[in-house]
Parts: sequence; C-alpha cells; structure tokens
Amino acid sequence: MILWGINFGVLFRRQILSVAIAIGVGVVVLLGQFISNATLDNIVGTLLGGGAIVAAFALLLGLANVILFHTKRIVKRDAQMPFSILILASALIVFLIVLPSGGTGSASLWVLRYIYQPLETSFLALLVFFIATAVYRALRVRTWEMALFALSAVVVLIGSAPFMQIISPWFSAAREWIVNVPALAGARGILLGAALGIIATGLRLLTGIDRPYSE
Amino acid sequence: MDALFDSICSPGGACDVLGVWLAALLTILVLTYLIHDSFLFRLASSLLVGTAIGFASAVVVHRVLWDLVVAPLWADLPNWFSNTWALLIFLVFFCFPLWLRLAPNSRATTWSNLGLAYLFGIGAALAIGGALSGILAPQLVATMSVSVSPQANGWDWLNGILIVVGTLGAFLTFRFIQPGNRPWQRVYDVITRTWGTVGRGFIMVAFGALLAGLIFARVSALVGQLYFLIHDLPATLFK
Repeated sequence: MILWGINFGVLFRRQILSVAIAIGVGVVVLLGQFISNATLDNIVGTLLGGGAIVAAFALLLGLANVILFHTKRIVKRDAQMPFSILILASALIVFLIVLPSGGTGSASLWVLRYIYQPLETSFLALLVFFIATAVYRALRVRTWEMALFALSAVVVLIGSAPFMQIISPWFSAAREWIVNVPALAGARGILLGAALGIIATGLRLLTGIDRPYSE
Repeated sequence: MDALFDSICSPGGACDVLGVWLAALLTILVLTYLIHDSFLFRLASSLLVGTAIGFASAVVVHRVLWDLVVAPLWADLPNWFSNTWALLIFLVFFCFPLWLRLAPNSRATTWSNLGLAYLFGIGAALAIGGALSGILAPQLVATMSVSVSPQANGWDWLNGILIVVGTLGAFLTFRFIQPGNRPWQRVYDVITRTWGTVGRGFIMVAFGALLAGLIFARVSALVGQLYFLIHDLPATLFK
C-alpha cells in the first residue's frame, strides 16, 4: 500500500511503524515526567488520555475473548456449561445495573457490598489454609535460610497478636526490631533490584530492543 | 436504574436484609471448599468472575468509552466531526484494529500492533518514571540517611550498620556476573558473593515478616467473615 510516496506495506511488515510509535510516545511521556513545561504537559496529557482509551479497548477485547470462550463452551454443551452460563448471566446483569451510574449509584453499591465484597473477602480468607500448607511444605526444606524465614515469621506473628503484649512485651519489641531493621534492609535491597530491573526493561522497550507488541 | 432501585429499596429496608442473606449464602458457598471442592464452590467462583467482569466492563464503558469517546463525537456530529477529527483518526488507527486480534492468523492483525505499541510505549515510560522517582530515589535516600556515626546511641548505630549492610547485601544477592581472570576481579567476586550470601539471610527475614503480615491479614478476613455469619446474620434475622 503506497500512500503519498510512502510504502506503508513495508513499514507494517517490518514493524517499523510500531517501533517508531512505541519509542516516540514513550520518550515524550518520559520527558514529560522530568521536564516542567506547559506545552509538553499538554502533549503528555493528550497522549495519556489516548492511552486510557486504547487500554479501555484492550480491556474490552479481553472481555470479548472471555465471552467468546464461554459461548463456545455453552454451544458445545461442555461439562462446565452451567458455570459458563452463570458467568455470562451474572456479567450481563451486573453490567446493566452498573452501566448507568458508572459504579457510584446505589444499585451498584448494593452489588458491590452484598455480592462482590463477601465473595472476594471469603476467597481471601480461604487463602489462609493454602498459605499454611505452603509454609509447612517450605519448612520441610532444612536450610539456614528457611530457619531464618521461619523464625522471622513466627516472631512477627506472635508479636502482632494483641494478647501477647499482655503476656510479655518482649515479643512486641522483637517484632518491632525485625520489621524495622533486618526485614526493612532485605525489602529495601529487593526494591532497589526490582527498580533497576523495571528501568532496564523499560529502556529496552523504549530503544526498540524488546518488541513485545510485534509478537 | 438507580432511581428504580431507590424507589424499591429504602436504606435499612428489605433490600438490605436480602443483601445480608445473600452475602451469608455466598460466604458459606465459598467456605464449602474446606470440606470439598464441590459444585457450590464453583458456583461461587463463577459468580465472582461474572460480577467482576460485569462491574469492570460497565465502569470502563461509562468512564472511558462514553465520557472520552462517544460523548465528544456525538456532540460534534452536527459539525461533521470538525473538532474531533483527531480523535476519529486515533480510533481508526489505534483502537478499532485491536479487535482484529479476535481473528487469529489474520494478516490484518499487524494493524493491531500500532495500538499495542502505543500502550507499551506509555507503559514503559510511566514504569521508568515511577521506578526512578517512586522506588529508587526514595529508597536510596532513606538508606543513605541512616545514621552510622559512632557518636549516636550505640543501639541505633548498630541498627544503622545492619540496615546498610543488609540493604547492600540483599541487592548483591541478585548479582549474576561471571568474574574475570584478573586477581582483583576474583577477590572482588569473592567479597560480593559472600556479602550477597549475608544479604540472602536479610531477604529471608523480610520474606518471613511479609508472610506473617499476609497470614495476619488473611486470618483477620476469615475472622471477619465468621463473625459476620455468627453475629451479623442472626442479628438481622431476629431484628
């Protein structure tokens, strides 16, 4: 496809256009975070607004994929068909209830308070048992690292219990020390490493070395 | 919808009582997993997925697609989009092609890469800025401002030293560099490797503390749900 003397077919095939857009948009937004300038702020604001629209379309694409997946299951009369019907029906009903107010109306809040929140909290509560199983399995590996891990977890758990402060203030003090000194140091080292990793990955994207959008 | 809901349901009325019953039923459905991975548990998990999908999509459609796309275009329709032509072009090149991804193996999906590239570009820039100003700089400043002067209180001084040694050690744990052949490079490698091993201990302590916090939060959630079933539900029932 040649338009205004530019062969867009070649640009698309070789992903030149995609890379140029990723680099151009990324560099402008990055500059906008470090340079204070009214014009640049306006451009960055417009780009971020566009990003919100693209992200919304991408999210809807994901939702469309979910709907397609469950519709196929229903058409095939799969063994999981009742659950697919429930997912689609509940999604449609909640969508129709929430859409007019955008999530702030009294009907939306009722759905959130009496359906979504109890389900979510119960699932989170259920995780206690999975965590307990995982910890038990982890503690079977007898290394000095696991000993430190277990000691730290036990002291922080016991020190966090309100009644332990009545029995002995030592546990609370030990918990405070672990959280504020060794755990803080460990978490800080991890955060520094993670931040450098994020920056390196971002720079690889902005220089076109990594191109996950063209796969 | 909300006007209809408000006309039917008064605060503290039948709808709230029905809601409490529904919440209790859903809680019990989820907790049945403790007995067996049953049909009831899958029913509850399907309902959670459906509710989350419906809620998220409604909020996105209302807040983004309606407010930022449909409403401006609709308002500009009498002018033949003379003020919103840039938005139209943006939609045509970056947003609508994303839907081509639903047709796998189509050559046209190359078009959808433009929207994804735009999203990845913005994401990378925001991630770099966030990591620099939100994580790296504050953590470095906090580590450098730790008091390690011997004049300070002895206990604080020891804690300061531990924080600096632990932070650098934990950071060095993630060092994956092959040592060179020169003697000083080998010495440097031994020092950093040893320090990294010490740092691994600090990381395990941090993980232990994080796990304890996680367990505490989850147990609180479990106690809250059980309290709801044992206390709030009968209170609603016998009101």
